[in-house]
Amino acid sequence: MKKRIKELFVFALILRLILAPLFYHPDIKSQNFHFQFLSLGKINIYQYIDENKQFLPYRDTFNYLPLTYLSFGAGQILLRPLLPSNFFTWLNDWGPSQNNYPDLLYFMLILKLPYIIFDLGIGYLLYKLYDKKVLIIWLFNPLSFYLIYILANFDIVPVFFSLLSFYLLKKSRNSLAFIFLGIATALKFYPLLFFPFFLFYHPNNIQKIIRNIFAFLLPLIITIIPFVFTPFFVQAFSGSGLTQKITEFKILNIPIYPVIYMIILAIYYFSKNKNIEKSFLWLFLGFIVLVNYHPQWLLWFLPFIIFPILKTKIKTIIFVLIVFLSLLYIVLINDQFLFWGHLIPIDINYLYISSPYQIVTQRFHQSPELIQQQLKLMTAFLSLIFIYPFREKNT
Amino acid sequence: MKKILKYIVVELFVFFILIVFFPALLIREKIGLNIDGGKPKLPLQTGKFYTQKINNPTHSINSISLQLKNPQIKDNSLIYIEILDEAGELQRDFSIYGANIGDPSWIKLDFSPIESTNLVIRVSGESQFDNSLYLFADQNNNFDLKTSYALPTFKDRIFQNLIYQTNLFKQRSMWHNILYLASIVSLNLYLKKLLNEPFNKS
Repeated sequence: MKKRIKELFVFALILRLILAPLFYHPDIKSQNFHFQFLSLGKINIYQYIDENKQFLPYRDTFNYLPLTYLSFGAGQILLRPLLPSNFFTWLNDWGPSQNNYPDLLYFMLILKLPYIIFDLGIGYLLYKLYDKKVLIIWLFNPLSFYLIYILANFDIVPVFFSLLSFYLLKKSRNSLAFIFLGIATALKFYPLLFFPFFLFYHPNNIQKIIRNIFAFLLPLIITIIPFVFTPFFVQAFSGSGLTQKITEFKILNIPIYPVIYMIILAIYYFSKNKNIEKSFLWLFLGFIVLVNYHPQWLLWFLPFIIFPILKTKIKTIIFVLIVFLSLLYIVLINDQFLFWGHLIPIDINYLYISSPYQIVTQRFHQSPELIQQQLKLMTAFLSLIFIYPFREKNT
Repeated sequence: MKKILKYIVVELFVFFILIVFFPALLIREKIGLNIDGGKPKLPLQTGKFYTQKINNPTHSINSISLQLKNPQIKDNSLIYIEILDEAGELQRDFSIYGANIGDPSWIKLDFSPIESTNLVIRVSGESQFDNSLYLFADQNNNFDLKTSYALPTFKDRIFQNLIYQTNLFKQRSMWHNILYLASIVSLNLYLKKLLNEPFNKS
């Protein structure tokens, strides 16, 4: 690796080690609460939770895929020697004192160490795929910091595997590419959105297409089959967040995002030079306008769309504006842990500062939901500008 | 040495903003009492009132929160909350209509800081019924109650925050404190080494 690139990675690592422990979101706790049962030998987490719900201090179901449970459960076992001794007391404390642990800062640091590895891994892949500029934007943009270390969801792991898959696809190592995309999908369903784009990236005959589909399905089949016949597993996934939210916005009872998705896929399929990044940018813009997304879902697209948004200055500026509006949308959600609550490892009193939602309703007597709708409209308008073919610098 | 300085400045800036500046700027009050877990057992019927003594050790109490319940939000009767000092002098008083009470909800009452050391909270209501408006309390009739104390000036808050962060640091696992700081220092030394290497070596 070049010396300058090495310097960037070391500085990025230092910044992550400083920032990662300072932020908290309850999702990381609830997920790790479930992951701890692997160390007790509970392989079928869905059945275990269903049968023991009444005795558990946290009673929500485990709504993720088996590979997520098995891999992160194993990860937690590996991280155990590094964790402070009261980690499991905190993990099982869902009472009034749950946020009052001085070591919360180190729980966050250790639990996010795997995220740092995958995050820097994405940086390396972006450097190999594009150039130093894309790497710098990935390593030092505040949006990825927010999505990876503040919201601290595990989405960074499937994002890494989907980008690795794209890298291998570009190197024409198709079978391996589809296996990795399958692994990403076995961790979280969303890379299914990317699958058709990957499938038609190279012109292939039917035999190769079937082989790629099989390679993609293999990790899913291996990890899901043992669980799929237990009713608890099916229950945990009935009404999955993504499927519901993607089909929520309708005109004449027709869900709009799936229609937009099909149009983008058709344009991509019939185009001569298959520009995945551009298609994913359009998918992303449609997504933030038409889907009531969970904030961490923005990360799915981010590594793929940095390259096309850097192509012209105006696109970069408009994208920054779109991100700003999306972040405003997020902070207006009625959840203390989507704003000041993130900072409780520094001071628990952050939890009692009025959230933007409370300020808007109580001080300005406005409806945050109405403001959110207006923000979506503005985002939709700005997104339209991306369709205009500006002269591009790097093409 | 000069090359590493700009990186260290950025790291210290991030640290300073998040650990020192933000808390001092934003946290303008500290949480005092935080008593939860009671049941809706004290009916706020006309003629009944309930009292609770509290201390004000910092002489700057600026809010109290009580947990109340209006089942199915049916009763719109007035509820009175008064804060009296030890001599029985009224310091602050509030009245709330039942329609503003959830099923249940915490009601936070903010006011300018009170200096008296010992205070009494008195809660009463005008409900016609004994089963439509309740105050949460434990078996000894101690209210579910939260209080907060004001930190008036930026200088006060900087000072309070430094004490708070030092205590928090001391309460954390010492091994983790040492390992964490050692990792950051080692990585910075490595970065310094990289920066001082001539370009043609890489």
